[in-house]
Amino acid sequence: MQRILIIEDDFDLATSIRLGINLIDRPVIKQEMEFDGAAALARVQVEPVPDLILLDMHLPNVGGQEIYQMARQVIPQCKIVIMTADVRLVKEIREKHGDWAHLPMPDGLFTKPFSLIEFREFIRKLVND
Amino acid sequence: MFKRVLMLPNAFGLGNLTRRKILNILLIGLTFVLIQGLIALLLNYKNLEDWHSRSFVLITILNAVIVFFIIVFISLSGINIANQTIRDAQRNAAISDAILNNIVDGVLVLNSQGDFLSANPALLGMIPETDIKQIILQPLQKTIRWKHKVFSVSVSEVPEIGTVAVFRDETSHYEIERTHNNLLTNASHELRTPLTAVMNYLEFIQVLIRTGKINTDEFNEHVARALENVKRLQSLVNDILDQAQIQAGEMNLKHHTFNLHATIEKAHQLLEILIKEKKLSYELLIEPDVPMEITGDPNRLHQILVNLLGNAIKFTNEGGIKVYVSMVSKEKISIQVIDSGPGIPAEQLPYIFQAFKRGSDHTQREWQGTGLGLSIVKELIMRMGWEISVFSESGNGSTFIILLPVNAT
Repeated sequence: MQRILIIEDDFDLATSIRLGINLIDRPVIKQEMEFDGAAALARVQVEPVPDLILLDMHLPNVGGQEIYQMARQVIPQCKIVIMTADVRLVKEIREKHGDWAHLPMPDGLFTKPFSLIEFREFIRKLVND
Repeated sequence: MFKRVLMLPNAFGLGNLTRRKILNILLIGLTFVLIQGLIALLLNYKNLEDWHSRSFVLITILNAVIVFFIIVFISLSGINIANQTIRDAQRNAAISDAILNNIVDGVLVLNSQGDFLSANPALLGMIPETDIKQIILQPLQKTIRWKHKVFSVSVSEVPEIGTVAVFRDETSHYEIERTHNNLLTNASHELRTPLTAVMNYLEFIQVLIRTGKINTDEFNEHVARALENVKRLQSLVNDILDQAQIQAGEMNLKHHTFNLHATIEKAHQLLEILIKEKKLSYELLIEPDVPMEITGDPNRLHQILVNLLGNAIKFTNEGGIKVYVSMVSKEKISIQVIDSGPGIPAEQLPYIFQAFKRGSDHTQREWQGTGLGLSIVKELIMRMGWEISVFSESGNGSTFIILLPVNAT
């Protein structure tokens, strides 16, 4: 079973991503959603750990980067896909600048707006690896 | 004493020095004539009765007088030219001083070794001399950042002097550019999230249709979500356009007499459905001494009230909203919009009127943003010369207070 954790503070967007992942033709995928940064930070540190995290970066209370660093530390086997609308941050991650100079690269990086079909296809390959 | 007695009269606007020089030339010339005359007399004093000798003496004296006048003329011309040159130099120096002392740009002069020689008042007003001396320890760059200021620097090498550097304070330009860039980036960020939701729902519907998994209820739900996000986008785009219009100074204020009570009620009526949807209470209390009619721009007041009431509804889940109108003086009305929402944490209060303001950690959304609403309210209030303040603490609701004159000018 693949356990996917969607961390996104926009309810409609999180729901649409969940619906898109539901379309993946794989029998057992369990999805969870977290809308708050602090709750998400706590969630990545407890069992059952997720196999894949879909992570928004601008979150209430705790930022996505802090969650990313914690997840990489406590569950290094977990794959992480960053999805953000912050184009400056995307550039920073891609070019490994600023805080991202010393952080491992995410397994996927999507700039909003992105196509649900393409996103779903990317996730399908990732969970089938 | 002698010179004072012999001084030429103060005529023609000549200075003391010039008059003294002319006096000296006259004295030298007269001495020359006297010596010439005396020599001629000494050489010929025995033969003065002789017609030739007398003629010789007279011609000699006449020559001396002519030479004297030529010397005086040449000397006076020279003095005149020298004086004019000095006056020109003094005038140019005065003009240069006036320019240096009055231009807004800072001017720094260094000697050929790069040591500080002088700085004009503008530069000393921008950067203290001690700090200038620190700055010049490094080679001058085209852009210099000092404390919170940014200067563009143009450097010229001047022969026999050294270096002249002109400092232009570009801080406000950089600040405006930075604000615009932030606004653009943040607006783009805020637009991208609902846009992604719309795209996702539409693509999802498309997949459902293609795979023949059409369920009317589910279909309706997804269309409703997509539409809801389109409305969010529309509202954001309108806010961004409003903000741009206000900042460009294209907002026309139309002051006239209007019914204050009716304007407040109109804003309430527009949002009444949202208040009912969230099952909140609404109370309007207007003190009896508040005039029914005031002068100002009712459309802008409506826009402000809709924004403040809209925020109050958005953030309040229990209790309700109260609008309290009273007089704070004979000429000033206070409109308070009070909600029983979660309140605003103290550390966020200074920033709530800034567009898309976020905290120092750029990957942390400090709170569910009000987008541009409060920023637009602040801009409108400032343009009209009104005042706005906010009182709030976490867990105890928020109160926004607008102060506006009874008669706007």
